[in-house]
Amino acid sequence: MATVGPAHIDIVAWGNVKAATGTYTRLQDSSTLTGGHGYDSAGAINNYLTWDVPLIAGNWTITVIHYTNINRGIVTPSIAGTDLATYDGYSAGPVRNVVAQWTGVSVATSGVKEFKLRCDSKHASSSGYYTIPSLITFSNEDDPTTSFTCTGPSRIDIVPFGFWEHVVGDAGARGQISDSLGGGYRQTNTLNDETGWYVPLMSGTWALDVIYRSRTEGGIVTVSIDGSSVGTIDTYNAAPGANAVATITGISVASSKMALLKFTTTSKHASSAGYRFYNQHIALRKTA
Amino acid sequence: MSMIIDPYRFGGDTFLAPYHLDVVPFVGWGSTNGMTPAQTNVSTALGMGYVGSSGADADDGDWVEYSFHVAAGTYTVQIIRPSFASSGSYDWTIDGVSIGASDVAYGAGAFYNTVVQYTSVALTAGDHTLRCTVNGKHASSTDYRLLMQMVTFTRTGA
Repeated sequence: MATVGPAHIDIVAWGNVKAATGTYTRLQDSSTLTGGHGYDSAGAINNYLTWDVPLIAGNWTITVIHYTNINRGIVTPSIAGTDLATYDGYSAGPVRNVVAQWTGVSVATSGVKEFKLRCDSKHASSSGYYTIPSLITFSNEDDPTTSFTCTGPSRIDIVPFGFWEHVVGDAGARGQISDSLGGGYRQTNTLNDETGWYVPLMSGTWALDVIYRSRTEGGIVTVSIDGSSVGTIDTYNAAPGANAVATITGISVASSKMALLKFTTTSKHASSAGYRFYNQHIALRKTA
Repeated sequence: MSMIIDPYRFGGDTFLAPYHLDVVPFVGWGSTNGMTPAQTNVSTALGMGYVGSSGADADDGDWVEYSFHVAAGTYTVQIIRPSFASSGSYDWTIDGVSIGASDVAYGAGAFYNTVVQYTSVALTAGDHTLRCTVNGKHASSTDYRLLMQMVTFTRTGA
């Protein structure tokens, strides 16, 4: 009997928590990726936030995007009670969208694990014990196409500025901007750049929705699943702007599998000045 | 904590279904009735925007659905949504069953990030459909708009 599960998990910190000491509070912030934070507003030492995540055995990359300032603490993340290396949330002034990341995090046995952010000390110059995350991403480092044999949910949301499992070419950058749904984007810039995420797809028919930022130097992106094109998105627009939506329907998946959903910049509109792709959000939904 | 067995879907394999699920509703809705969801960006909203019916497209009885997949258990369902003077009142159901009292979304202005919470929602393992249906409106509301920013499912017990 195989054990299967998602290879990519995004948790938006202002959605909700499993548990929190102190007072779990949502903070809207137009300068932050995801547009806000979820945090403990009591800010006492040893207070924590937790979420349950289904982690298959193997190695994982964990990314926390957070907001540093003069009153932040030093945070010890843990998975099922095993501590990871700390990160220091202190900075001499406010800095949003700071990325803390752990690679090669070994999960010995598959299961639903408690992920905890515990604020248990502080920088000598810090005045408090706050930690203010906006997004947490879990990304499996193994090859899911071989280590996973089955599939999962009927809807998958991917926040592209968290972390991606596959990249070729320009690794891009996170962009935060208040006119964008989701609070930002992740960009690639050149021809043949690739970004991808492993997604558990059940057999059947799927639709893909992508929220992106159109640009005068936008490229044409080919969307593929395990190397087979399912459609293209032309992100060029002479009057560019955020929150353009492209939908590709009728994506046929013959057999359930863990698949690589990939975005490759393959060409450009004749009027486009470049090959950029600014990806704000991805949703996959099973339609039949 | 035990793994979740979801055999109807996975032929006996053990599937680690989510205990925590964020549904970002800006895209990816399923069926709708009487409305075409549209996104609006606003810099004071968690998620930097909302999705739903426009004033010209809002009627009593409108609904929108989202599919989702969770492990079996008891959940807290939190909806984060705007409260507008033009908002309707909502019935939230999962697989056709009400999850709690009507959600009166009216607000005397334009407010964002209102949290509506339903607790002790029992769900079986697998796929489900969340539906939000406009069912009337506050006496002071000017319309029947259906609007949301985020839906989160958090497992609280077996």
